[in-house]
Amino acid sequence: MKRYSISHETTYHYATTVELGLHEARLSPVNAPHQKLLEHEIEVTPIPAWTVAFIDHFGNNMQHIAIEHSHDALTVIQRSVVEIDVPRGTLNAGPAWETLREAMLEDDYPDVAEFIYPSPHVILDDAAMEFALQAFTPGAPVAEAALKLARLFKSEFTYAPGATTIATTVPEILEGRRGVCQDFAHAMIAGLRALKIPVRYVSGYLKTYAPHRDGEQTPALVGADATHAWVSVWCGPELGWMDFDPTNALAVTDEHIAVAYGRDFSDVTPLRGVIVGGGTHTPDVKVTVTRLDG
Amino acid sequence: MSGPDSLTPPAGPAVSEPAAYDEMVSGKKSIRPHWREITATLWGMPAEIVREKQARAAAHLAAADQFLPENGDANQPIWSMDLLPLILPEAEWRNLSEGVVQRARLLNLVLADIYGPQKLIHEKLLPPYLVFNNPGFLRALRFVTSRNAPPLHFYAGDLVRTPAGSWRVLADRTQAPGGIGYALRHRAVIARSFPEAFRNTAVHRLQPTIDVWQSSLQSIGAAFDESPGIVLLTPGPHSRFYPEHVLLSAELGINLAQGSDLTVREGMVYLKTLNGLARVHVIYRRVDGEYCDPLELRADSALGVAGLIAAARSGNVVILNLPGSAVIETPAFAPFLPAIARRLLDEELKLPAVTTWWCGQDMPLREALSTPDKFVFQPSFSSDAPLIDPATMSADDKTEFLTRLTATPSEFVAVERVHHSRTPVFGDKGLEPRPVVLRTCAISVGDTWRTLPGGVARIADRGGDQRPVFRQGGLVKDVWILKEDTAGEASAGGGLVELRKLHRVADAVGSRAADNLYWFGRYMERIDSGLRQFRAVTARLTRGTPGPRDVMELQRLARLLEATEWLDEAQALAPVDSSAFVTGITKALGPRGVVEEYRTSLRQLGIALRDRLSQDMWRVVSGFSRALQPGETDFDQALGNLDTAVLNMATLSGLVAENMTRGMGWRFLEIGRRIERAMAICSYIEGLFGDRPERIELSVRISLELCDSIITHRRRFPMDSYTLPALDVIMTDGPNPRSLLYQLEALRNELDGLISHDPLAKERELIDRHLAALRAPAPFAEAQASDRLTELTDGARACRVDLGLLSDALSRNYFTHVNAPQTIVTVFSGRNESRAAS
Repeated sequence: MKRYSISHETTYHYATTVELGLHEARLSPVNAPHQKLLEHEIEVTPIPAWTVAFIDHFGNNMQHIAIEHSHDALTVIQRSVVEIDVPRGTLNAGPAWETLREAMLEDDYPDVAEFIYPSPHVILDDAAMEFALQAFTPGAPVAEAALKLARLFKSEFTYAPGATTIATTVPEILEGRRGVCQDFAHAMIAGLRALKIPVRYVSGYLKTYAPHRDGEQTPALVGADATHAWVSVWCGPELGWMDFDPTNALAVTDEHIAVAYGRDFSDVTPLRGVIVGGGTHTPDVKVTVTRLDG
Repeated sequence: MSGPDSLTPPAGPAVSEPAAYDEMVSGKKSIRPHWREITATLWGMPAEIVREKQARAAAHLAAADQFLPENGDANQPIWSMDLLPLILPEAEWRNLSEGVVQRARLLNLVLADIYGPQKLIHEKLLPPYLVFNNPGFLRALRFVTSRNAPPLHFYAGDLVRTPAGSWRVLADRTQAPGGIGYALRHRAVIARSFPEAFRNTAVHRLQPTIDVWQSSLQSIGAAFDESPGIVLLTPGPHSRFYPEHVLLSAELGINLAQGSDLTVREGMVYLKTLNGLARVHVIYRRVDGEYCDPLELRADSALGVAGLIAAARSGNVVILNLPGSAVIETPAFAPFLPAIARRLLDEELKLPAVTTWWCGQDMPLREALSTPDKFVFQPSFSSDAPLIDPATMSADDKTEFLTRLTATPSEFVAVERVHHSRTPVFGDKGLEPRPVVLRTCAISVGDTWRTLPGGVARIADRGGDQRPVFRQGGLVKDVWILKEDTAGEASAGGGLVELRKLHRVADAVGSRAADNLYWFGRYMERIDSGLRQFRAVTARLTRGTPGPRDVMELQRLARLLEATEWLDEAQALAPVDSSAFVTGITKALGPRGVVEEYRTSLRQLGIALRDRLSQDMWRVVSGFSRALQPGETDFDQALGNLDTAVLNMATLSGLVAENMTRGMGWRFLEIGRRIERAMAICSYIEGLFGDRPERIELSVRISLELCDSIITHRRRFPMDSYTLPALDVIMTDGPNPRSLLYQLEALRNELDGLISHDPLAKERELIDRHLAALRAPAPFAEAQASDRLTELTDGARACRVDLGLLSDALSRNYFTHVNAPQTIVTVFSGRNESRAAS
């Protein structure tokens, strides 16, 4: 069990004055079987006229923020404390992936069925399926195959910030074999959905420096202290959802902090808004993740 | 029956389609009892009278539809109407109505479940694919419920009658279906053009349903406030259904609002009015769900209101139907509804759909693939898409379709072929039986439902059993439900004596409407001024070879037309006896000329203000004919047409003056008119006197002519020969409604009546200064030409400039120019980019 404190600060400096800004934030970490949200608060500058919090369709925490007077900049700071358990279960415990696939085709698990269909950023793609089949060999247990697939991304794709944009499609990612964590997550999701394995997109954070134990320091992982993205695979009724990080080729344990789950990025956008005025603007994002105990 | 042969009834159902049920003629080839009165009435009338009635019905309907948007020919109605209604006896209707109500109840529960606990999916009564892969399922609406109203408030069902005589649902319509407005209009048209039909027939009236609907909306709103704010949310004048939105909002006594008329503040929805923000509690939605809120739904939507869904989720507003209600229109739900009805209602379906199979299931797919010609096919999620009919496909197309079906079976439903019942329609050769689809409507009232006793019958082409698509229009009929017990009610004239409750609503003038009304007023006067100038020119061009005085006058008028921006410089400076000048005038008056351009602008403003203009005003605005037809150069003809056009404008002014309520809206129109007319007078003075012309009397005479003040002048100055002091008539003559003083006084009055005129204090002062100058005793009486001329033209110029400042100030202070909001998304810190969409 580990505890983290997170500060996630987003600032917009607007080129021209904004008269009215309405924003929708998915910044407070989600409550999940292995993750407890102990404390959280959102601080918005300027002070909003109205805020309201609720749980969305996917179970995520969401805040609606309305700023109704002129302002030239917007800062949203999310502070939270979460507690994370190492997921139980071993990777070879679940069913063979073909068994799960058959069950999904028969609608045996309606609760997770939503995650086998295409979504705005993830079309079902033959190339993605072919790539996934390298790991999903006949009879392979779902979780084991998923980890193998995550590792294939690490070994066959290049982490290349700037090489892609949010508009880059899954076929383009597979063609170019480069991208950032969001791209790898989308490509992995496309492959699994083509095989009818339920899979979700996860937005969150990754704390890279494990505590100094025995004088040894784990190497820095990509995505340190920044928002990160990985996938969550439903590995059958016994194992449930297990998370895998294709960017870092690993099964998620207790160093990934999930913020929101969705079908793809479009469901978990950290902050989106409608503003009147504003001109051009770029956000400035700062994330700090601190280990609280041990 | 003495009617001529052409109107004798058809000899039973058409031979080519023996299977279809005939609405009017029974199997024994006799007229069904509920059709006997109307057929007797018809056959008692000469054929040409019937034809004339039919033509008149078409004309009435076209007139009501005239204000349709510009795309395509605006005068082309999307509907045409058949004189003969579709008639159903009350007993049959009662059964049908029960079936419709049960279906609405059921779909409401399904909708509530899909956006709530989703137990139908967990219990495997509804395949997850049909919800989670359904484009109509809007995740942002999950868990959005209202204590005051069901998620489904308005249901429409398209029904057909099978050869066995029973009704089936062809399509459920739950997004934001139209229908009641059209039914009301069709009833009005038929009552006007065929009143005889009601003489011996008691038809269920439609108005009581509207009244019930209104109180239902009121009671939903009453949970918030004893006089709740209710609006009909429309996509605006460019929607095909806008006429129905205008009609319904008036009938229901609620405000018509576009997305840009609404705003969300602190989680509450408000209508922007000239009095400030007015709270809205209930929204009757006629904008498709996904366009309702650019923040949580489609970011590229300009039709919605940012923050609307958050307001609904917080319980501060009720949106009817719930955005996302389109999910239950899904054709592929049909095979699952009988079991769902047993589970949720513990009832059997009284009004099932036309038998439908979802190809996402193995058995139906095998059947569909082995005998495809037995079925027609439809996309699983679109009830509007054209039917796919393998039987009529070429071999190649069929192979291609079957390949698609095999590859993605879940995307299709197979539907049994049904012969739709036939109902008689007036055709070229008398009555013809044609397939009919009946649109029925039901409205939630508290915990129950109320059906409209009537509806819209749509007629497919002779060909076959297509599904007419509502938004594409086509041939329609009124629907009559005959009253069983007509005691004391006979000849109540179904649609004739529709006594209605008076619905009076506070006239909340939106900022946008005020803006449009202001410009409507300005364009009215601008066109009037242009028409008069062109008429003055044309009159002089028709006098044969112009003499020296005509030439001089024409030159002055030409320069004035340039100064007032009706002609460009090259046209205005051409010698007035040259062909270049004549061509310039011809062009300006002809098709796509500047005059027509302005009239088009006025017409567009008229469309935007359609809910505020009377039918008569609209007729004038839309009925202008151009002064010159293409290729025409006959100035005599043009002169006649310009006279008519000037009269048209006068008619419009008269209607504005006599027929519009003196509300805030009228005030803005009036302010626009006065400002523009005052500016025109100033322009005449500047343009005709600014260069100190010789023979000043010619300029004086033209000024008086343009200001329609020749008669006033003759009466006031009988001996005058158009000397400068005569200009008093159009400058300082208070009682003359064409004088500058009159305009400024009227303007000043209306400005004082604005709710808050403080923001205009500075501009009012400017106007006061001009008023004072004009009121000074006889300013031009003792004019020594050259001295006074300067004063006169300088004063006119200053006045025109100040009126421009006033116009800007009005616009700044009263018309909210809504900046198009933009959507921003923080993508992802790894990318450090943002995206803006308009």
